[in-house]
Amino acid sequence: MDKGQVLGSSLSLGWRLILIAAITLFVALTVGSVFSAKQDVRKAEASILAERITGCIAKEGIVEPNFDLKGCFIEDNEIYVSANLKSLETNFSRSIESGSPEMKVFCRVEQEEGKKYPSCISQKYYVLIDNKKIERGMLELSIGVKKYESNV
Amino acid sequence: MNKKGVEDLLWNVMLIVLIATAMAFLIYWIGDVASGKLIESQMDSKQAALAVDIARPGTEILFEKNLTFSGNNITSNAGAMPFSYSHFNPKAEYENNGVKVNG
Repeated sequence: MDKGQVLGSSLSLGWRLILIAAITLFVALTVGSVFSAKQDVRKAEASILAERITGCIAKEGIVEPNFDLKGCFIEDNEIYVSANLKSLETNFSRSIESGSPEMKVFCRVEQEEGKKYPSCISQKYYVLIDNKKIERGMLELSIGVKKYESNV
Repeated sequence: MNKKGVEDLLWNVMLIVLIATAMAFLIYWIGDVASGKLIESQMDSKQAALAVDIARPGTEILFEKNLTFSGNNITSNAGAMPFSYSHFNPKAEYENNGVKVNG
């Protein structure tokens, strides 16, 4: 085999190897991205938290006017909760917040797929307020969960 | 067979062995991915954390999977990589491989 033939053969083999590597990489990336995507459970988590908070501050459907979120859940910077209690009969209202308030802003912006935004829900509950006399009221909960690294 | 023929045959055999090895690894890996083995730890820790979140006072949960608990983090060592997820139930206490939610 002369020098030209050796060079030609090496080049041909090199290209074949590159082609095989490229195909293998493409298949691995495609399959990997479909099957190993992170499962986003933050909406479920936020719904469970909303249920937990209503069970904690509105025992048997009655809310104390000076209600508090302390002890209802483990508070950290990954979770934002805003609870707004309004009387439907008087002008009584009370709002409390827990967690980083910046999430309140992030929950309002239009979220882009795949980007790191908190997962947010907002729920309203009809409750009774024990404000000297029992009043009809509405409890509005806004919940945001960050946990980007584990879910996005 | 002449010398060139032997060399060509050798190159081709090498190439076939290389392709077969690469494909075997790829198929094995795709099998793992498709069967959910790579996200097993993620699913286990998230399911456990949500179960603890939703548990009512007085509930006792015993996990069949091997999980470790630290603070409010639940870690699963199943699958390829360990994965941790936090719960927010303040009344959860760890017992062996389970969780007890106090009333």
